[in-house]
Amino acid sequence: MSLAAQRVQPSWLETLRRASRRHWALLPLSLLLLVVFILPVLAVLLKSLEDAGPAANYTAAVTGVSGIILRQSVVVSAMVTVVSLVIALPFAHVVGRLAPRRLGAIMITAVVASLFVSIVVRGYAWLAILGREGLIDTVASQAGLDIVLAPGRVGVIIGMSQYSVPLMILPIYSAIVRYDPRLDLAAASLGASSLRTMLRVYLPLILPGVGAGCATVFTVTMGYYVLPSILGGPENMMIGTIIAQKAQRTLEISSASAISVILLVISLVSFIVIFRATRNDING
Amino acid sequence: MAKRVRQALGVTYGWLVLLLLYVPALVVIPLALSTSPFLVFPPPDYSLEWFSQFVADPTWVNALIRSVQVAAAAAILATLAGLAGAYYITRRKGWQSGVIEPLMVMPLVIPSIVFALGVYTLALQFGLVGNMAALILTHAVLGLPFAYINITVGLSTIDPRLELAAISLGAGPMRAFTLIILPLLLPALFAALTLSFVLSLDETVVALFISGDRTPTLPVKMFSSITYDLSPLVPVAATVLLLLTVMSVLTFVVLRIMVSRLLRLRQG
Amino acid sequence: MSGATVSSNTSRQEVRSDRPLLELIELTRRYQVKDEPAVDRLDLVVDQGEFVTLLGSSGSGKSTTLMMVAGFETPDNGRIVMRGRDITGVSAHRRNLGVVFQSYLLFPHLSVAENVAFPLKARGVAKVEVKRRVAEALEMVRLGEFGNRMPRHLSGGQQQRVAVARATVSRPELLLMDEPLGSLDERLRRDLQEEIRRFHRELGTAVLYVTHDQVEAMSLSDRIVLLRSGRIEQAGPPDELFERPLSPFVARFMGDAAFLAGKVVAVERPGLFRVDVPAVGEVLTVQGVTTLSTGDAVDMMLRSNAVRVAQTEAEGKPSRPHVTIRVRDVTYVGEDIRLTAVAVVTGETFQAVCATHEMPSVGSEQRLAVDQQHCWLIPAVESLDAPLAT
Repeated sequence: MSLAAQRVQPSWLETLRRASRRHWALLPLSLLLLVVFILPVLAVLLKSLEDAGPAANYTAAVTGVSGIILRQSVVVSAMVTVVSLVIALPFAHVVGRLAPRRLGAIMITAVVASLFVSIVVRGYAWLAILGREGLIDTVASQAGLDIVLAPGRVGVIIGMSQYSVPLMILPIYSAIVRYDPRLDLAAASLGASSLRTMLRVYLPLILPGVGAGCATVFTVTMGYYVLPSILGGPENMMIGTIIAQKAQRTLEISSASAISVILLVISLVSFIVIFRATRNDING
Repeated sequence: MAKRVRQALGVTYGWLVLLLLYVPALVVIPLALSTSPFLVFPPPDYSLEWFSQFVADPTWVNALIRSVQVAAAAAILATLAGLAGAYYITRRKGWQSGVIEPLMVMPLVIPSIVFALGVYTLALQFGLVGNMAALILTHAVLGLPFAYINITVGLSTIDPRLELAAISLGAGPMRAFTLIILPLLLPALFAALTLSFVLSLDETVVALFISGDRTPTLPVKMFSSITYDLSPLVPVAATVLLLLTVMSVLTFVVLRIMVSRLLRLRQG
Repeated sequence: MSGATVSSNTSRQEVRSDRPLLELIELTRRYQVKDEPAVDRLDLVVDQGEFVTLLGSSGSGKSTTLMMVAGFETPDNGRIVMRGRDITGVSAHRRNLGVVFQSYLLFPHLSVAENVAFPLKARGVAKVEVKRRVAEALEMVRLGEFGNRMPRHLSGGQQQRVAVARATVSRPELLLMDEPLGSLDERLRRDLQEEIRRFHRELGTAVLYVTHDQVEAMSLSDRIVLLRSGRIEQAGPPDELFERPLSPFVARFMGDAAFLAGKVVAVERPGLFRVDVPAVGEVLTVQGVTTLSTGDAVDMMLRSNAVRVAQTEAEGKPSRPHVTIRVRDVTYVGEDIRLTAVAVVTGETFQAVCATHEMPSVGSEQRLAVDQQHCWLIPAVESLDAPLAT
């Protein structure tokens, strides 16, 4: 983990180890993780087996209304992933390679900092821009058009894509920064055109970053609750919305838990699949 | 020449994306100053009416205070737990780090709605819905990975043998830690505090489940209001939340500069 | 802490000023059970005011030994005794030693003066007293003006001096130095060696010093302890290790020398032998390791003071002992030259550093005059099972 620690002659570390033989140092962290993290996740797993029984809970989760919403969530998440990729990839390229170094650093910091903007605030703001009598509607109605994007699927995709763009940019950016620009020269010296170099050298080498970005965005979007609730309305529920409704309004906790477990599995599986597919073996 | 044009185009695109990331949220500010009780943008006219209503409404003000209290407590907890854990694990490369580190990353990977449901289930079981301590602990866990990572990175920039030097000069291990490691770690600690504070301040999903109907945090009250009655006080609350976020980040930046200035000023 | 109980027991032991300052008794440390120990049953005594150097190549156990004395490592076996009091289990910060590390380890957020004040404050010394002693210590290392500077604004040599001031300001009886000049360039090293000798003289503190550089060890130490694979190969004053080594390893580690094979033909008296050296072609009378006996195969060691390129007729007289050589290579190394030579009679190839008036040309035949008084006999390398590593 820490580089400095590894550089130390091994013999010297002993005192530090002895000083840290205070196992209590790990206690608050372990307790927090155990009681407030592991137990809740276990509770969801266990609850999904209760009441009507595991078979009924899980069948209900993938059929009927929640089944439809489940499929709908996958579609919406995939679209959000594509939209944010289209926006993020050129941006990461600009910041990582085109822009002057200092400006690039400032821009990437700004991207990270934008994650600080509250989700609820974003949701409300998009409602004001995309909703009835919002910015777009007001402008469009002067031209005799009626464009109301929220509540609605387009609104959900716009709002969630805006939140996901930074999550997509960061892994791609770090892959681009690691790309050695001298490879371009090498390819050119071997007679490759710049387009060919781009397609055959550059893209394959930054693909793992793209994969990591897609995996992150897809899984995060799948589990989203706040933005789809604000921007989606009743017809455009996401899986998160139905979990919340079942748990809080109708108190079907077991059913909500079963859906949660499915969401968890989809998230983890898609994460692993996308990650594997784009990992190139050159980087190990 | 072609390269310069490409660069200019690229940078312009970059600024456009940054505008997309920041500007939409800013529309809440004119909305907060709107005269209309409805969500109309652009606003017909401007006034401070909703601001004064917000300040006079104890449910909104209490939600704000509650949010800040929870965030502060959660940030301190996450930072302390992260500090103890990071210190222990970087100094001791045993099996513990193999178990703890993946666990620390899990809260980042598991969808917050699943986590929230789990916490809710437990809270129902033990009658903790609406309990502020439960909310604080949960938020602390959500901030923990960020605190831990920041502090670990901070520790890795400090030569661990400085501690040995201090001990060899007669300082006990505790003294060596507080006099040598802690001051050098201050920037990382500030970062950990700020991150986990802002994270808790904005956290909505878990809070929606367990903060309870009568004791909502500010984002929860905003969310309920947006989905039910769309109160004209929502944009005011949103503006306040934005301001709070900006202020905590600014505080962090100022503190950091002060610390490094403090070290540099004393060159003599 | 495990040390707490031990220290409360041992603190009742009387601290006796008639006992040696530091005794290491059968000190042993092994990192892995199956490995050879890093330090193997080491016995060592350091007296008050003495400058003792642990010399050895990397992996010889010198640093491990120092770290055990400092309290940063726990010995698996054996005891560390200071002034008759067993401190083996005492925590590092209660040992009252000064330690100077190779990388100085100055606290980057504290000024030079605050760095030097650190050990005094840790011991609860009164403020006025701290100020006075810090000034004194900085004066001693000639950095009186630098108290308010931050460490990173000092040069490597200055940082090193601050580290010495910091380690000695609390007046420990024993100062440990772990390759303190290791990261400095050659010129600075020589300058700072002089400084360190001066600190040692002025403070009267005993020093336990670790280095891999035998020249540094010889110029600084009252006594050198040459370690090899965790054991003491030989300990004694610098001239003893240099001129009268007990083993081929010590002979080679301490500096350049030519070695010529020979055989003991008679023992004149303990330590003085008649030895037949074929390359010289006669029987010489030479001092050597006392354990040698008649019939032993030996190497005759010739340091640069025992051999020179014969110039004059007198030196080259066949009656004086000499080796006839053919020069295979020659390098100029300051006052002396380094010859790679083949003995004409025996065909032995050896290197010799020796004085000369003019550079002999490669391929030429020369006579090397041998001064029997400065030669020294050691057991031949063949009689040792362990390979040599210098």
